[in-house]
Amino acid sequence: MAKSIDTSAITKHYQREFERLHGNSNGSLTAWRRAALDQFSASGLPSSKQEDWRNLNLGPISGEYFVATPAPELDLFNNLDFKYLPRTPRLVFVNGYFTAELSDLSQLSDEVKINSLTYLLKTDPKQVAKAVLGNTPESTNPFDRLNAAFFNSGVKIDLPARLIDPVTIQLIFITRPTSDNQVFHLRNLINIGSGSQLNLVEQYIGLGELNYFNNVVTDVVVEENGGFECTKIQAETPSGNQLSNTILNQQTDSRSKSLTVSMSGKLVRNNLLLALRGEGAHGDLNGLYLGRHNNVIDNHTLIDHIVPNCTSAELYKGILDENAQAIFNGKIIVQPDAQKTNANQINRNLLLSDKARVHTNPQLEIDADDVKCSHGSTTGELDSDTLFYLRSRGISTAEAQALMVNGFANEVLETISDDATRELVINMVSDWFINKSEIS
Amino acid sequence: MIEIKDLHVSIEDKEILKGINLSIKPGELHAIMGRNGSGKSTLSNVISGRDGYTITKGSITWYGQDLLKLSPEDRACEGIFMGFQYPVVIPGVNNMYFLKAAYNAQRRYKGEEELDSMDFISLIKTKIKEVKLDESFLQRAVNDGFSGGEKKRNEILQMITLEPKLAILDETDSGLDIDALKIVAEGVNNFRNPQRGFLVITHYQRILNYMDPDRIHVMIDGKIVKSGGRNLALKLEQQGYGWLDEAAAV
Repeated sequence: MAKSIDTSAITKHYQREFERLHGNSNGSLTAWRRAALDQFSASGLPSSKQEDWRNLNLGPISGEYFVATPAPELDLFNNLDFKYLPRTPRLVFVNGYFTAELSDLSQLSDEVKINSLTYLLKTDPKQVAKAVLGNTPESTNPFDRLNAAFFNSGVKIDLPARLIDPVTIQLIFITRPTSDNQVFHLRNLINIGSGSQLNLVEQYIGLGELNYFNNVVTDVVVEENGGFECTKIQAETPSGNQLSNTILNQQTDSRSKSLTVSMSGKLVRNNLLLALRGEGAHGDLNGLYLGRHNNVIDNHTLIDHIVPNCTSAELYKGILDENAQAIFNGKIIVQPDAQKTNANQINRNLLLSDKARVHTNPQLEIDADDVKCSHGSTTGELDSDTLFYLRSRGISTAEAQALMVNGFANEVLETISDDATRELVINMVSDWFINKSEIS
Repeated sequence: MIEIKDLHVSIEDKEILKGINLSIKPGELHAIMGRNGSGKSTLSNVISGRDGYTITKGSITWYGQDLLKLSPEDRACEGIFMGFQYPVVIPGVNNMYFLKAAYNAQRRYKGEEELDSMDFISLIKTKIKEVKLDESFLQRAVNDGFSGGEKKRNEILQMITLEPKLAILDETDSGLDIDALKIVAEGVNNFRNPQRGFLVITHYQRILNYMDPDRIHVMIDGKIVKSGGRNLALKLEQQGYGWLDEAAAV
């Protein structure tokens, strides 16, 4: 039995927080925030009895009063470990706040409009209001509502139409809490103009041993014939939590490829909605989740085929060791108009310990008749025939297992188009495998 | 080099091998022929150290030491290679990377320096020509999408790269067309030398037309019932195994 949660105390806590932070504000954005908070208060936190939250123990983020934080002192990020800091244009956020000292936008084209939301909220709240009110559909997700009420940072990226060269941007969100139970509500608003291409690397890096909660909402619109490739890397600490809600809207003939790599984290829950709104759109949805210790990683994806002639391909793979637990819930909806849809979904899981667990649940809801849809799911251990084959060539058991596990992950990692990004992720994943017994 | 004495092997209490005696000396090529289910593959699996077999009696010695005490990887490093009847597909693991990992694991075992990537690439590029596989096979995942013949040639590539003292080929000829069969046989023939032994396990004598076996053994129901020279294979080709069943029943 999951421990019962006193929801009313939690909602009261967030109401008090809201008064503290926004009690004196008004305007359309504040009204929108307040409406979201009221909805959150009415629904409360989800319970594991609700279909969308089944099998997930929300204890780590619902049993504590998470508190929003002020901007960090500069010395907080003087000694950060930048092992994985990439080279190309980057924006670095520490504890939710944009830090110019660590960022480098010198190589970014002037045509790209990019701003931190903290800055925009201060200088031009109407622009933020316009973006969130226009973009964001009514959400029923309590954490999405909580984010709407509280978000105070993140990034807004606007690519104009018809850029000749693809634009690559790295977003690095470093979380190093200064006390227990801090919450960071981040919101990223991305618009890719017709015919332009954005390659985004979104990295979450947790540091330290304190308990925290990142609540991230990302809204992406890919206009006609535009392209979007996103590699999201979640490397939270064993006591860090992340809930993320991503909505990816695609217009006619647009393409998207997103990869979510989740490694570590006390509780990681990703909601990803891919909405194919314009004919001829194609979306690739890939994921790799790596869990050990008591990590809980939950991926809920929904691919919504709304119009005809769209295609989607989904590949999620998980590797779970020790007491880790994963949930994969992949839903594909083909709406009545969406004839000639082609959608396929694969979920594969590798369990490296007797105690690791996975719940996998593919769901197809098909309301059109001329469609091709497939799904498949497997869960297993390392194959003993393969292990013997490798050993019979002189390779030790440990090395053979490492080869096989890396090979299992590679199928997903090889989908990354950009060489430098692929190398970055492969190195991070290799380090994850090597650090097996380091953190415990 | 290898000496098998009165070997009895069971799988889950069912006796599969019922007293095998076999001795292979450096330079010799032995062939074991027999129907499906006669125990041929069990013998090659036991020599290479696969799990799941219980040795109830007998011994295998390798240059005087007890082979059965060694792990599969140590047997490989000691110079025993098995070409698989059904080579496994390993998605996501690059063939070149796998070959290099195996090659360097064996170098380490012998206390030799490992080859770096550049040196290994030039080595493997000369080897792959011998089995007539395109270099692109090195960049693919191990056996992934390979045809039956390509998988078997990839086994031979591993053999000539790892340079074992004893090569066991378990039904390497099964499922091969005549061209692929010739390439495999040629790979073996070019690889023969006075220091190296071979154990070729086969259902049909066809592959033996392209090789020059020193000794042929016929296995029926877990026992070697007849041993002889080349002519034995030809007789089996003409008359089948039936005339030997009586000998097996004794």
